[in-house]
Amino acid sequence: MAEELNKNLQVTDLDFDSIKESLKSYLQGQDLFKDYNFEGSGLNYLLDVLAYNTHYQSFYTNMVANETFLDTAIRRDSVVSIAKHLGYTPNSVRSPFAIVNISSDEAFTLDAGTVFTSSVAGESYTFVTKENITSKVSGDLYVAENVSIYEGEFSTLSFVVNSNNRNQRFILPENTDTSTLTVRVANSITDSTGLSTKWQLASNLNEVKSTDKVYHLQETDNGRFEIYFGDNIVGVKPANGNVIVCQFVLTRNPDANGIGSNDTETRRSFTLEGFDVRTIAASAGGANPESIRSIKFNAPRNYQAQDRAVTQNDFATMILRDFPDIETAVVWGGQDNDPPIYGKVFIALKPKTGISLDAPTKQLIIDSLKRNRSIVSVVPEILDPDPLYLLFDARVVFDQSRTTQTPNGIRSFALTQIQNYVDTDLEKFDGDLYYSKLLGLIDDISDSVVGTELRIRIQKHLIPTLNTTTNYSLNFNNEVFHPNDGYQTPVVSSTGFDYKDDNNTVFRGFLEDDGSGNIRIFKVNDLGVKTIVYTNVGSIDYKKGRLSLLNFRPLAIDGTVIRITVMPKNQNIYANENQLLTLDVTDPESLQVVAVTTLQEKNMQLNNRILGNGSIITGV
Amino acid sequence: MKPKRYVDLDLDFLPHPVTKDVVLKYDEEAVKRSVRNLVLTNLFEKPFHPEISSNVTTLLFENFNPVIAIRLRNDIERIIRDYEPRVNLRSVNVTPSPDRNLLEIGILFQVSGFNSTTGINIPLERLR
Repeated sequence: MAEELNKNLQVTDLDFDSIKESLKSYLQGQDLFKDYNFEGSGLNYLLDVLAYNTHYQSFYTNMVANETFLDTAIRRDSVVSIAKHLGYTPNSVRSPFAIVNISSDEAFTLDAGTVFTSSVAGESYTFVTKENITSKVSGDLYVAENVSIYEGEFSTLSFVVNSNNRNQRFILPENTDTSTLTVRVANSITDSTGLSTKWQLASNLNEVKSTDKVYHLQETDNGRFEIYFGDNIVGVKPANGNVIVCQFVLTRNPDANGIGSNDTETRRSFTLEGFDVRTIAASAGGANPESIRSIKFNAPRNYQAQDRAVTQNDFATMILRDFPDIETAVVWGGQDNDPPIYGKVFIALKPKTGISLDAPTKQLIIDSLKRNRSIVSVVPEILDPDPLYLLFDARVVFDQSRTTQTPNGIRSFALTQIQNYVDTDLEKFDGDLYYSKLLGLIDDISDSVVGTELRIRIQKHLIPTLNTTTNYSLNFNNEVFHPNDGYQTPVVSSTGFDYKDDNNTVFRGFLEDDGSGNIRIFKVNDLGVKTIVYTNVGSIDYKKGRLSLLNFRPLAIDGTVIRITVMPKNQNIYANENQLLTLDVTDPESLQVVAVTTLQEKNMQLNNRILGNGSIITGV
Repeated sequence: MKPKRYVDLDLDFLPHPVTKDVVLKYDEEAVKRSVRNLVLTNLFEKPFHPEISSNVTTLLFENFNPVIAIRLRNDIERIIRDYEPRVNLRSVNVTPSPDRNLLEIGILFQVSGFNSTTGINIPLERLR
């Protein structure tokens, strides 16, 4: 029986030693050769060759199989090729573009490629127009309004079609922003007929006729983009001797977003000699070429959406595909809104830089969705993310005998770990905070960490209209700590604001709750004595985590916001719809970490017991 | 005929003059070949098992002196002891032959299951 088994060669093992063992095991079933088990025998050397060859082949086959599927492919050209089967073309690098108004005393025409300069923090940037611009009369001036200017260099590249060369390809240079690409075809080098007609990018094969002047776009195996044409059945095929003229913007710095946000009358962000250039929308939309991870995410979803925005996922997929500077998107139907608003679809978007998009970019996205894509009766509406700020108060206890780190070093590691957790797991829609996961990450910063105590509070920023009586509503979306009705320790707190009392005397007020669901305003005098001024300026629904202020009329505040902080009931914090969990890096209270040694911790606990103080220690 | 205890391939792959089949090596001859193979195996020649090597050819690039002879002998003894359990090693002799630019390695051993002492001589010579 054992002999029978030995005659079956095991072919499931793929590493060298297992393969060799399988071969030896197979040889046990015969009598001709006996020395296969001795490392010096000739047969053993032969087995080495066989096993190595098999191992090599199986590794190669495994890699080939991996590269065949979208989930396992690693090489960019494999991922791009699989995505091509799904009708998905990855985004090229994108130039940041700004929208400007250009004015002059005289009528003017700007050629495509006109260079605007800008300087930020000592670094200079060039922006260019991609089309010819002609001014119009406006009052005493000649103006060109809402002109888009792109970061980089305007470039023209021509190819002469050679039908005899079957391998001729029309490959665009590296860093070409394909969204700026225009393609024209002239009859020949000496005959410019046809140059005035822009060929269109073919997006839907079903709509392309044999006479349509369209081009197709694909990424090549070295990351550059290539254009190719139809075959006179699906789109016109350029003839031999035709000249293909491509114009596009070559991006130099895709990260140059936000230029123009400080534009003022006296200090313009963009300059063009002899003209006044006013920024309407600061530069945005710049992005690096679509990453492999992003292609893997977007390609199958794009295939599901079939270039139509019907389901919630379709909207998100389409936006993420067409606007690469959007980091994350969440979409919900009006019927799911609170309160329900039928006939609308709400889209919350977070750009890669900053928290919210500017108005022109929002309009661009809305226009793009409405154009042949969304259902006529459904109106898309873009919302800004609603940030819910987190305040961390951590105390890391570590064993100093197991590390060379100082308390400051451990503290620094913990700070970085929390910041990384927020950056990677939170700050996106549906990014919820899980307390145990974060604690685990902090405990893992060093083997010397023996435990961590972590308290999390949540905060909303209220931007009040000063000197105006207004109602405000803040949704914390998480149940607020409220052990019993009449609980005396306030769980709501705020930063200060100037307010008037009944005698019209201005005082510095603060908000808190009274333990029964009412929000009140108090003041503190120079001696630290607290006085309640107004007992009911609003309410808080502890269960739903909603706070409202009625007829609230602050006169002045520090900075631009009033920070209202609550203590959540649970330490897992959830974000819904357009909410984002994030850190306010400008607030020093947002991230407070202390690191103490085990010895310090024990002493402190001992002192605590002597004092009979049962409260939680939050700092040293 | 008494059954053969050890049967191995001849890595020279010479055809048998009559049967034209690959020639096999038996018993002591098979073990001798095995010892010779082990001694002549260099570092990393065995895939994934660099430890199975005597690495004697590396030492051929050193100036010969008694220390080199001792190192050679130790390396050879180690690999035979570790990877050829069929052999009871009697002695390893390293004899320099400076006029011919080579070293004579003489290995005497007794193959387990056989009474006689046998041995092999391996001339080690730099090829380049």
